[in-house]
Amino acid sequence: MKRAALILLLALAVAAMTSCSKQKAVTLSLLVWEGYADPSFVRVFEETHQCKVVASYMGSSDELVAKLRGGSASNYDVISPSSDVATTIAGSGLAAPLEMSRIPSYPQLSQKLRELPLVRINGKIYGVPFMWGPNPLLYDTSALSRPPESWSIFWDKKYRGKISVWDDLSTIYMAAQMLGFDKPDPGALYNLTDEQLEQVRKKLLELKPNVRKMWATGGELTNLFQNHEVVAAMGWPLMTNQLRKLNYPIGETIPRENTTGWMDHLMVTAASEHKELAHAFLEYMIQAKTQKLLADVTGYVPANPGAAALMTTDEKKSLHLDDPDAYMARIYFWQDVPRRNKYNEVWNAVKAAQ
Amino acid sequence: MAPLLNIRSIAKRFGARHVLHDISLDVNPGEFLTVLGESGSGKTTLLRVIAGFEQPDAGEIWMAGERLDTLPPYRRRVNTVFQHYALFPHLSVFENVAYGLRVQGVAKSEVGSRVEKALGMVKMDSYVASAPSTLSGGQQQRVALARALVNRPRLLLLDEPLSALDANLRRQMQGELKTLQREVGIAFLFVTHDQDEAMALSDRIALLRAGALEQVASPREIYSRPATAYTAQFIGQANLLRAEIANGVARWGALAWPCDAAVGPADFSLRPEHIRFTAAPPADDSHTVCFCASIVRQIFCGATDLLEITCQSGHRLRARVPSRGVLEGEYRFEFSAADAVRLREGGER
Amino acid sequence: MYSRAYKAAVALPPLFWVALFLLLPYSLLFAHSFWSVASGAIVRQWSLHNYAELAHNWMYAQVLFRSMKIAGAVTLLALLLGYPLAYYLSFCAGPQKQLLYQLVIVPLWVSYLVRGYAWKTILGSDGVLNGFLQYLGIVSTPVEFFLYSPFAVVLTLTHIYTPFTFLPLFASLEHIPRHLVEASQDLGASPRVTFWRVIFPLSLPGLLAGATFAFVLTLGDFLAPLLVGGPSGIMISNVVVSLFGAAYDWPLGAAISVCMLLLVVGILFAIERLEKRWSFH
Repeated sequence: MKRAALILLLALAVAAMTSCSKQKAVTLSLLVWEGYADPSFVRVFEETHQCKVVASYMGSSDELVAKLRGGSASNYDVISPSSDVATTIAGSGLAAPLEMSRIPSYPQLSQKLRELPLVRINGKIYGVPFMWGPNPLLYDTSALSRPPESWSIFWDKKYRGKISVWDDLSTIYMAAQMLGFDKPDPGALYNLTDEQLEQVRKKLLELKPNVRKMWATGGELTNLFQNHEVVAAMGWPLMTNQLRKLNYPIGETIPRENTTGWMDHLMVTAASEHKELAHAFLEYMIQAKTQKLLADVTGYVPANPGAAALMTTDEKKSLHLDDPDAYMARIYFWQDVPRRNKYNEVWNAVKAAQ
Repeated sequence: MAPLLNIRSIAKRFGARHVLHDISLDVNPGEFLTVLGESGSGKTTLLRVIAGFEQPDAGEIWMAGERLDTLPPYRRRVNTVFQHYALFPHLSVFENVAYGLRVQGVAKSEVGSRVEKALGMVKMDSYVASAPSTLSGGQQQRVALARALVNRPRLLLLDEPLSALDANLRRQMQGELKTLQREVGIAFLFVTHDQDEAMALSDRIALLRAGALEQVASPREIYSRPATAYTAQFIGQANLLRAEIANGVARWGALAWPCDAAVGPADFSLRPEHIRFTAAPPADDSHTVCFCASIVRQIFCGATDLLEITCQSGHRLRARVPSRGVLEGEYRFEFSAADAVRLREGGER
Repeated sequence: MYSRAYKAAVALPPLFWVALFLLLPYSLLFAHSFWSVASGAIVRQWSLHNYAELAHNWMYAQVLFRSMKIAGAVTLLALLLGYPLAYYLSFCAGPQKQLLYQLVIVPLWVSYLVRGYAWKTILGSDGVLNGFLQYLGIVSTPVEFFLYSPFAVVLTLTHIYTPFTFLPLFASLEHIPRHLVEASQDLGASPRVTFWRVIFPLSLPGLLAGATFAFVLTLGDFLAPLLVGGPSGIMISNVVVSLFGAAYDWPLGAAISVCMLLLVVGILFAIERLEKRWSFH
């Protein structure tokens, strides 16, 4: 009897130890835009793959590139570069070429997006199209009863100290649009001359008295609205979604000058130690049902048109899936900026000015 | 002559501890008065009460017709020489001495000459530019003295100013201090625990014991006529004789001398040096007490020997006699009855 | 006597530590400041062009000057707050000294970020302070310069660094022998005169140490401008952060860092000389 009890105890101990070791799951690290690691869809992946997903959020494309180049590439498995730096990252050996056989849902993605030359180098594919969207103008509907028609309200003396802009090159693009440098070729926004940049700098200096705070993270801008520090800002649809959930009177519009936007890809870093799991994550993230959940959280447009089939008519309308081409025509997608350092210098000069 | 300082029934408590009880003391103009006491007797507290660093719980202090104890320290025309000099480390010797004059707004031209004079008085005039930290203890003490005297106070308080100096320097400074005091004619209230220092310097000594004054008198008087057993033993050495008085005669063992005090026990103090050898047989003189005693111990002290002797009755005494070689056996001794000083009752506290 | 081997064994770990965590990083920083960056990669070619850029583009000098102004204001305010506090604790607090001392120190254990966010809550348009002022009817619309302004940066940094000035000040005041204060009063100086002629000069080493802490720490701060600073309030460290981060221009960032390092070392050197002159114990 005693011996039986001892054996039982031992067996329990062994069982406890093995279950412990099973719990020590693999961790998949993401460095992505805010909204791309919401528990509403990540949890299912964690459960089905017995792993843990940890996300860090990037504040700008530049931050992503600097972090990868600065030696922390090995800390992350999956990244979500936007169209402005996707080619740079794919071409610099920071991302791993994808094994397309592990991503069976890839052919479902919008053909137009798949055919973009951004992430194809020497016949290899370095990223999967993921989500896209604009940098719209967000405004407090209790302060502005009608949607602003133009970005020029940012310069309106009425809104002195009530505006927020993104601490990012996007603000440079926006000012360049105000100056008409996007006509006739929107691609010119990403290839501004020194002279044009000088004009942009002056234009932004005029904007500064109206700027309460430059936001660096999505959470910061939602806070600025919630605390009534600002009434209008350039933001992301994600913030509109979040503020609406909080019943905050927020409006979102694309002014008549149009706006810039981005097309995000998912990539696996070259230094990742969990490439197999990372591929599985990419596959999961582009499946129609995940893309639907992503659209719910972020308000961005899914790259998988199949997601539309899972949406109500209203949801489709709010994401402009009823007429995606007309919507896309109002968005100038970010492109690689060959003189990114010069742009950054101008942006720093704007920030540093008194 | 009206007293310069008039201390009236001062009392001071720290929590439950009574540090000073009902102290009344006068300091006369130009006098060197020493407050003598063991450590913890309250002498420093008394000095601090006079300087204004402590407030008395009861009593008043008056100086030259002005109430002192209600004034803040910086309004009292009293200066202090601190035990550890308390020179300002960031100021030169000159500026240290000039400090009091400057804060009182003395004209610049006058400051220079007065500081130089004060430093000359303590023979420190060649150190005007030195920093205090470069000076020896004795030099710092001189500067501290000059810093206090330059203000021409009516009363100078000195808190064990020589205790931090080594023995030789100390004796030298004692002499200089006394000379200086005579020269400037300022009243000194000097605090020390060293009875030799007190005897050497003072016009009067106020002996403080556990927060109360035991006796106030000139050094000679306090030595020759100690009021209590404590005084007798604290200042110099003394034989304490507990005698029984009856019929105008005090008896202590086989010894007897006339005494007109009331019947009962009485304490007497007899200094060892008042006991001397005598060859003569006992004369019929009641004012000289003669007795035989054997020598128990002999301590050589240079010019004198200190003897411990036992009377035939078994009573022990100490005698101080001129040195004259090794002594053994029984001898005949005597002392004058007048040298046996009757002490106050209730000496023990 | 210790053997040579023993001495070497004892000296080695700290030497190793210094080499690994001080010499190596500083050497790397120094080397980077002479390199350059081209098409996203650092080029290890020695040149002075980063320093030329710093000298040529006066934006950097402007931001550095602004940082020094903010650091100066914070230092002044931290001293104005820290000195009376330290004086009170050292000379007047009596039996409560220990308790009060702990109360001053406790905020040091609270995270910098928490304190930064606390000020955000207090100073915001919807914040405690504006709410209170509006409730009292002193203002009708929220005062905006409270938050996202140089005012907010100076206030937050003053709050954060006042304990750093308090500590050395308190230590130096505690070191002043009390009999010097008595000697001064004894010589006829009122408490006010005693303060200016004795206590203040003797507390100068502590004052300098405290001022150095506040100035140097503020000069290198980048979080406060980020949290509560306005659109024009960036400080020199924000530029360094953005050069190392967003712009991936480590060489230029390193050049600014080297300049700041030299500036701070220069300040420390000057302070040490002054401190030696003003130290009397």
